Amino acid sequence: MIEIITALHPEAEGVIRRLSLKTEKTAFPFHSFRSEDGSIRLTISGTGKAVAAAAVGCILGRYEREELSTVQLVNYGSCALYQSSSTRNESESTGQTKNEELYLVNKLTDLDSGATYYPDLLVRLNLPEAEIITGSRVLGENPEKNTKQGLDEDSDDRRQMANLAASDGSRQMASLAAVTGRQSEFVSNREILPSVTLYDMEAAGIYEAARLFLGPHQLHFLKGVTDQGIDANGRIDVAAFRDRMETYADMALPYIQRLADTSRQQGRFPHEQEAALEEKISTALHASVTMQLQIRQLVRYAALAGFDVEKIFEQCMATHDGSCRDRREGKLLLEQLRIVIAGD
Amino acid sequence: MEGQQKFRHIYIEKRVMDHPRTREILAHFPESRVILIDHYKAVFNRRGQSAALQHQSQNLILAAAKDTNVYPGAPVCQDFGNAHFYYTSCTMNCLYDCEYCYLKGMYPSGNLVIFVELEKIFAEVEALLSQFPVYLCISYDTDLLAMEDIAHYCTAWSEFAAQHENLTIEIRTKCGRTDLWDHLPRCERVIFAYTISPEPVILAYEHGTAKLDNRLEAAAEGIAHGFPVRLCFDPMIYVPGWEEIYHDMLVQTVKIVPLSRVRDFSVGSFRISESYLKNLRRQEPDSAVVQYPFTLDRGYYHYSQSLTERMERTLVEELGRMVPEAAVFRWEEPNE
Repeated sequence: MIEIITALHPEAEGVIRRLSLKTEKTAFPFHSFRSEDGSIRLTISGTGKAVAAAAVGCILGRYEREELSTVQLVNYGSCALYQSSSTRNESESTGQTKNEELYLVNKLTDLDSGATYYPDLLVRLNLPEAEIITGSRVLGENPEKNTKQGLDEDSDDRRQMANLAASDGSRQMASLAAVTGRQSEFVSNREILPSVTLYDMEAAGIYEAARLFLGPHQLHFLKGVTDQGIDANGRIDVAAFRDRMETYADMALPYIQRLADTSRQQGRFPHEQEAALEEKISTALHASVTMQLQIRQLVRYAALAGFDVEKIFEQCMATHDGSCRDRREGKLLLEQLRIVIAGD
Repeated sequence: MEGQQKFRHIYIEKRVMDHPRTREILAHFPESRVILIDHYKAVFNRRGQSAALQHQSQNLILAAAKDTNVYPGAPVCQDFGNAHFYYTSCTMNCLYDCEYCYLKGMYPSGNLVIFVELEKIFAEVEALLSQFPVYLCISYDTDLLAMEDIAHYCTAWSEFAAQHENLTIEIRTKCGRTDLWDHLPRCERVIFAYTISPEPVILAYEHGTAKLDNRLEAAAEGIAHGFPVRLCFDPMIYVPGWEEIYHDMLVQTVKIVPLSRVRDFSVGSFRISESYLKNLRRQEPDSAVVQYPFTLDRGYYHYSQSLTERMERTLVEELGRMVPEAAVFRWEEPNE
């Protein structure tokens, strides 16, 4: 099952259309879309770490524990390009400049807490990689916009809020610089692969929530650069944003489809057959809980090793006239079964 | 070189990014993407990892030495009669991918960690050597010989051992390379211990390792170059038809290796701690060798007493017939 999570509808539109996803009615406060065969779902979380984490909880909380191993979660969306330092010109090979790339994220940092996360990058497709920093504000946003309305322009409170806002903004930049500064130095000194740092407002929150349910090999972050923060007027060009996301949808699709193909191909051992056989043997042998666990292990091994467990069991039973009266006899029969299967 | 196609990603602790050994190792992987991290555990200890999947696409982590790197030898391991038996993990995890390997039960990750501050580990060993002679196994949690081109740790340890008369080192391996003998420093107290398994077991369960013939040829070449070589028929793995399979293995061994010149032998059947097997079974749900119905006995899983005795005795007796004067060490359960 592929669970895609995006923050905004304009980010999701291209993927929804290409995968022919249809609106899915759910009890949760998030718009949700699903493929016809049910194997891909896309959820729109809204902006910010908290709502993104809440969406993750809703999405993954639906699954039974044993079903979670079949889930791959993809955070797909837009981001800002915070920093790029390179000693190799990637645009020569891709024909694109850095701010038109869809990146696969290999490291996530939560700007507020400093926590870092590392997804396992096991899908081999030719996407450039980058690290991402997740913050609580739009990159470069003037925090004064968040001050309380109604304050007197000249009031002490207003001035104090303005000072705090200015220092908050500086702190954002200072925090970002602290996270990325030393790495840039290392990269430029060592002439290794280019380092690109992106910025968004959801990814680390999604990882932090999702890792409670999934392993790092099940978490994927695809981010397309749509801006370098807001412009001087504090706005993002919506039309340009949509155009970019259409391009990125084409780039993301092969990755998502590869995940979907792998999910479908993952062979599952016929544990249902094993379970039925375990039940049959346990009942016949009047098995205690301990005996049931032994039977489960025997049946599992025997099936993997190519034994016809049912036939062996019937042969063992035949030596007891086909019946087992009680647990004492059951233990003897179980030992007989074990000796045959385990080669003892 | 075996590891070259691996390591698409190399995670490096920031505190060792300027270490000479870091730079040497990185030079082997110019195409790998480097990711800086604060501590190796941030990657190695992540919750819910799939070691099986990671082995298919293994990454490398370069880290500073831990506070403690030298540990007393585990009870399930053969001490070859040495009073002060220790092991160290200057590298965690292996290039190879044996299904039954206890590392999958012990470690949360299938990625490979190299602790680049080898000198700190040497200092810990020297602190022990100031008290008593030490028998030190340095390639338990890895295969150092398989990684020699990457890290050169066998060379470094051999040179270190040569400087310390009361230190004996074992380097355990499933590597089949014969060319390394021309370059490795020789020291009579550095023992190269080859794990010898039957070819059907290697093919079925020891993924990526050298074939039986290659291991035997490597061992023979080591002997010819004057290196102390040990042959470890340990762990013996139960498979249907094991008597014939292990007999064929011994016949092949005799053909290739001059057994009278082997330093010593060890024989032991598969055994593993209870907690490790639980994790290992989770990592390898479809592996027959791991899902075998072992017997639990005082915190360790192993084959039944009767099967263990039959397997090990059969091998010891046949080996004894081939090399009557051989020193054969059989693992015995420690007395409580």
